[in-house]
Order: sequence, then C-alpha cells, then structure tokens
Amino acid sequence: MATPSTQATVKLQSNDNVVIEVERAIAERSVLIKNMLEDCGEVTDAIPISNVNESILRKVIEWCEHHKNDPVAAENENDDSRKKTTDIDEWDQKFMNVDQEMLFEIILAANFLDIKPLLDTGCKTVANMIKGKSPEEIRKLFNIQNDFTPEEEEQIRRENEWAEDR
Amino acid sequence: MTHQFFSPSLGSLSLLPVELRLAILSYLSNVELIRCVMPVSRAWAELMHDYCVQVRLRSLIPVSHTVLEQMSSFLNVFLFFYAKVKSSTTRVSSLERLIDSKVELSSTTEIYNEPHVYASVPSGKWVGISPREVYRDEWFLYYRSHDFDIDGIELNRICKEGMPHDYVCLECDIYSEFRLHDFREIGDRAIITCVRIPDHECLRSCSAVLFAVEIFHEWSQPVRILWAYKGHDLLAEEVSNGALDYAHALTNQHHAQTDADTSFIIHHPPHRLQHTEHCGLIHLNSTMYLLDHLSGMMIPWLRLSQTHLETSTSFEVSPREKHTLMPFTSGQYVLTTRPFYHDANCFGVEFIIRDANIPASSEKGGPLFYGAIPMDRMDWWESIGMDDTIHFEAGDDYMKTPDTESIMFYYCLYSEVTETSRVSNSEDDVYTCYPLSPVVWTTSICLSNISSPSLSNPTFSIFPLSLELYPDTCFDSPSQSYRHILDPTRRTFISEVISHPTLTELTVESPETIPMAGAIFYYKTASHFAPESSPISKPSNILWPVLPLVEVRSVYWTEEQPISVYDWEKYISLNYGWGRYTDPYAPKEIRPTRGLSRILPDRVEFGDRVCFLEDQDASL
Repeated sequence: MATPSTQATVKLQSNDNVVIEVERAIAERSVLIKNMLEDCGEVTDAIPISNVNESILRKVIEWCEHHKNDPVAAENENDDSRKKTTDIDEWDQKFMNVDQEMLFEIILAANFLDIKPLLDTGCKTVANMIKGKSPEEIRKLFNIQNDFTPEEEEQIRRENEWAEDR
Repeated sequence: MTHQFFSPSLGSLSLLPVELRLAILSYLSNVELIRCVMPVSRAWAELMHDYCVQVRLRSLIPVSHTVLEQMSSFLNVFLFFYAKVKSSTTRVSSLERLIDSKVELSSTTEIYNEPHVYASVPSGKWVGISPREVYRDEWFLYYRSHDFDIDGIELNRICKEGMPHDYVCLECDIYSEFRLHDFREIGDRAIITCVRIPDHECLRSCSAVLFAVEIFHEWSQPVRILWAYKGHDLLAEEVSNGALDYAHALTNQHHAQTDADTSFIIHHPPHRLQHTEHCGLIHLNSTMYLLDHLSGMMIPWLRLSQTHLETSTSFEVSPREKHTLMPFTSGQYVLTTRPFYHDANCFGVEFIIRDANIPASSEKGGPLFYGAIPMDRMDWWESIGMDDTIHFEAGDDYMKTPDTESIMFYYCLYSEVTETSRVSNSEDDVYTCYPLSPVVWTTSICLSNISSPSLSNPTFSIFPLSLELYPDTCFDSPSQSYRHILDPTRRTFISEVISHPTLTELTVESPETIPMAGAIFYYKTASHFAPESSPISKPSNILWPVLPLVEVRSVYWTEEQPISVYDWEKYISLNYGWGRYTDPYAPKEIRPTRGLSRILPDRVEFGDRVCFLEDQDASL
C-alpha cells in the first residue's frame, strides 16, 4: 500500500470527460475511491469514473457533501437491521425526488462507487414507490407489459387472496 | 448506462442489475411481495421468486460455526417451511411401481409354528421369519385367515427383485439380506417395511447402504394381488394415511416397543445383537440399533430419488409453490463444497448448490442455496476434498393437504470422491498424507414433519444432517473395515422430538409464526480412527485420537422463547458415566428403554434421557 496522502481535494472525471474537483473527505464517502486513494497515495490526475456521467456524478457529490459528517457504517453491520425500515429522511426524500431514469442512474452510480447509504436510500425510494400500489399501478409506473393470461391472473388472484386483506 | 436490454415484462426495472432489483425487493414485506409484485408480470413474479430463493431463504440459513447453532438454524428453517406449506396446495410426484407384477401367494409354504421374529396384529395376521438357520435368508408374510389356513409370501424374493443390490459391490449380494423392519395395517392394507442389512463380511461401501420398501397387500381383494412400491412414491400418492404411518414408523420406530397401543412387535434375534455389537454401536440397546437404521436409511432413500428423477419427467410448479417450498423442486443440481476454517474449533464445509442446467456464469446461475456443515473434527473436514464437486440430487417435496399437517423434505448430497480429485502439487499438502481419504461420501438433509393431532401439539422429527464417509480401505481385517464403515457415531441426527403438553392450547395467529413448544433430543456424533494402530501404508505425521466423540444434547423451545439449550452432557457424565470423551465401545450397562416418562416443571424425562428446561419461568 502506498503512503497515506494528505491531499485535500481530488479530481473526478465523468464518462463524458467532465472533471470535477471535490474535497477528498467527500469523495471518500465512496468506498471505491477511498480504497483507490489509499492504494495509490498522491493522485494528481483526475480519477476516471467511467460508469457515471456528469449530471449523475454531480448529484452523487451533492449527496456526499450533505452526508459528509455522517458516521461511517460499520463494515459488518447487520443487514437485517438495515432493511427493517423504509423510512427516508426529509432531505434524502427531496434529493431522490427526481425522474425515474435519474433515480435508477443514481442507484447504479451508488452501486458502482460503493456508497452503501446512498444505495440503500435509492432502493428504499423505489420500494416505497411500489408499496401500496396495485399491480396495474405498478405496471404504469414502471412501464411494464402484463404478459399474464387472464387465466393465470385469475389463478394468482385466487392463490393470493389471503394477502389482500392484510 | 444500462446493464441489459429493456425487458417489456420487467419494465424500467430492467435498467438495474439483478442484485439491485433484489435489494429493492428486500425492503418489501412478504404480503407486499405477494400482493404488489407477483401479479404484475411474469418477469416480476420470477424476480420475486429469485428474491425468495436467493435472498430470503439464504438469510434463513445462517452460516453457523457450531453444531448447536447449526442445529438450531435447521430447526428454524423447518419451522419456517412448516408454517409456509400449511396453506399450500398438494403436489405429488408420479408413482413409480417397484414391482409391476402379480405375486402369487403360496399355499404350500411350510408352516412355522413359532417364528423367531414376528409381528402380530389384532386381526390375526402375522409376519414371521424362519427360525431355521438354513432358511435364514428366507422370510415370509403369513396371512392367517378366519379358517386358519396359512399362506406365505416370499418377501425376500420380492425385495431382491425390486431392490437390486448396489451395483458397485460384488460381495454384499452374497451376504446381505433383507429383514423385516416394520409391519402395519392401514385400513385393509398392510405395510411392511423391509431393510437390507448388509452382512459384516462385506468390505465395500454398500455395507452402509440400507434399503426400504413397502409392500402392500390388499387383504380384502379375493385375488390377493400384492404390490410393492418404493417408499417415497408411496408416501406421495398411494395412501395418505399409510404414508403418515410409514413416516411415523420410520422416525419413531424406537417408540414402538414401549407403546402399548401399537399393534406390532419386533424382536431382535440374538445374532442380530451380535451383529450390532460387531458394527460398533455404542450400546446394545434397541434404541441405538434402530436409530442407526433410521439415520442410515435416509441416504439410500435419496439415492432412490436419483433413479426416480432420471426416469421421470419434470413436473410443473406454480410460482407460488416455488417460493413456498424449498428451492429445490425437481431436477439436477450441482453442489460445490469448500472447507472453511476460522480457528481450531471452528471449521467445516461450506456448500453452494446451483442448478445444473443453468451455467454458473449466466445471470441466473448464482447459488440457489448456501449452507455450511460445521464439523468439530479435522478428519471430516479434510476428507471432503478441497473444491470437490459434488452432485446434489433433489428429493421430493411431499405435502399433504393442510388438514393433515404433514410435510416431508428429503434431500441428498452425494459424490464419489476419488484420490485423483484431491491430488495436490504440494508435497506438504495435508491431503496427500491423509490416511483414510474416502472414496464416497454422502450426506443427506431431511426435514420431516409427521402428522400430529393438532397444530398446537405437533409431533415431528428432523433429520438435519446425516453424513457418512466411506474410507478407501487399509484395514487388516474385514471386521475392522466394516466397523469403520458402519460406525454409527459418525452421524448427527435427531433422536426424539416431543411437544410440551402445557402449551397445547395455543392457536395460530399469523401464518408467519407457528406456536410450538417442545423439546428435541439429538445426537451429534463423530469419531476418529487410529491410523497408528492400523496397517496403513501412507505415512501420517498427525496423531489421531482413538476415542470417538459422542455428544448428546437437547434443545428446548417455546413460542416465546424459540430455543434454549441445556447441555446435558454433564448430567449424563455425572449420572451415567459416559459422555463426550467416553469410549462408546466399552461395555456399559444397558439403561432403561425409552419413552416419555414424565414432564416436570424443570425437566422432561424421556426414557433414559432427561432434558432440563432452562429458564422455566420464561418458557413455561
């Protein structure tokens, strides 16, 4: 491993070749970047974030800036406790109030950059979109083609009747 | 930035990779999954199924590093499935007839007045084995009619025809024999369970293979046609009541002798006891003897399913069934093992099971099932070679209609591991010097629930793990080899499960939870060999202890307090003088027979065993 660096900022380059300079502490919210910096030491060149375009990268950085003082979750944090709730704090709700395509892009970027809290927030947001909706509403929401036959639909409805009144 | 092509059936969610789709579903409850996700489209239903199998099921089966944890987790899995399938529809597999021909009843069979081994039933029918040494391999089903004529059927011939001998063994066929295991009447039928008990002179691995078969004789039919079916097919389809009784006979055989209401009796002739001793059983009491059969039967049982799967066609499983059952329904799977080793007391074998028909590199080629077999002895761990690929054969998910409250799962992992599969380039590799690498190892996972009088008072048995390793030889005598092969202390199995009578009034409030209370008694056994005392050609720089290990533990649970454990090994050691580090082959007094004796506020006495109930205020 290289010697730890004291550099204050790092440059991130989106896949559309836009370079964004960001505080190192903020960039290190991404485990991917954090590990990269630890391994490489002083990095003067822009770090290519090949899977993320400029607008999404700025959005992710915005999230990281807002959450830069959040405690870093323990590595072995219990997954169960993490998934017990779909509650999202108010700022994150507003942050995630974007069109569906961008929401998915943010989730993918969080996954690529290994920003677990952001990924969780994105997944929770999608889960909340699903919750309480009828299958037809979900089809409209996600542009899904219903390929069940009427007989199959009826069978599923019958099998799942017990869940309807819960 | 898309990861795959847009799928109309999946919608915009197809922009996300599958692991992220599953992550999203993990925030939805079971009801939301079923109500919102499943009816959307085929792709969403499939996604939900994948999630149930790959995420939730796996989360139910934690990687436990102690035997106790593993046992507890299996219990939890069982309870989970038990609750799930209660409301499921019945699905049965096709019936496979073992003997597809009439069996003529013989009216000329010599009458034996006092069979050595017999079963008597109130209706006057009885089963016997010839007491004459010359006819030792011939045994018959006798039917005493109302006018006292006696007919006999050569059951051993039927068994031999229908249950061919293990093809890899050329010796056992000469020596091994079937013997009567159980006899029961279900309505107008009789169920006879036969077990092939290999002779101790056989040196091959099949010595550890036992077979079971049910034979049905329709007593009420004038033509007296006798049909024989393989056991698991019978369980599924032929006669529901019979299946339950058979299962009960399998798992609670050892209770029968002390149960006054049971209509059959089985005696063990003296030579069988000698045989038992020779096999290295811990005690010469019938409990251990039958339990040995019991755990051993799980493996050939599943080997039968292998044949069954090869010859039968696949069957349709609705999406709901898929997620309410174990992930393995039918088909070929591949299991890969690898040892895990955390410290000297924490190691074992992890296993991953994949669908054999889906390439591992494909999106759906991920593990269907992940689990771990913790082992507390090095020999087990090492004898399953690093990265051995082991075939997994699915058993059948047998479900009864909800009112019968019965379900049985049988699964088997098996492999033929050869020396070449563990060749190492390193001269220092421990595998190369391991003295007793097995040629075959087999393990079965069996969760079975037996019919119970009420949901709140269930009676079930669990066989979470049965592992057998067959060494590739090097003994100076056949008897030593046989003892090694059949060593019953190399298994883990539940011995008894009892429900607690004070909690019988509990009712089910939610399908997610099932009120149960009771105690489980189980054996975790292991053993070592003594290579330094055996003429083993390969060098070994490891000193292997001679004494086998025998652990006997109990688990108690209630609805509020799912599991509490009392290690009663200490109690046994103090009161009976044997325990974990006691030589099981040493002569011991035969302790009282089993059977639920009494339940006291602080303990359950079950025959010669006792289960102390921890924290009785909380649990009772």
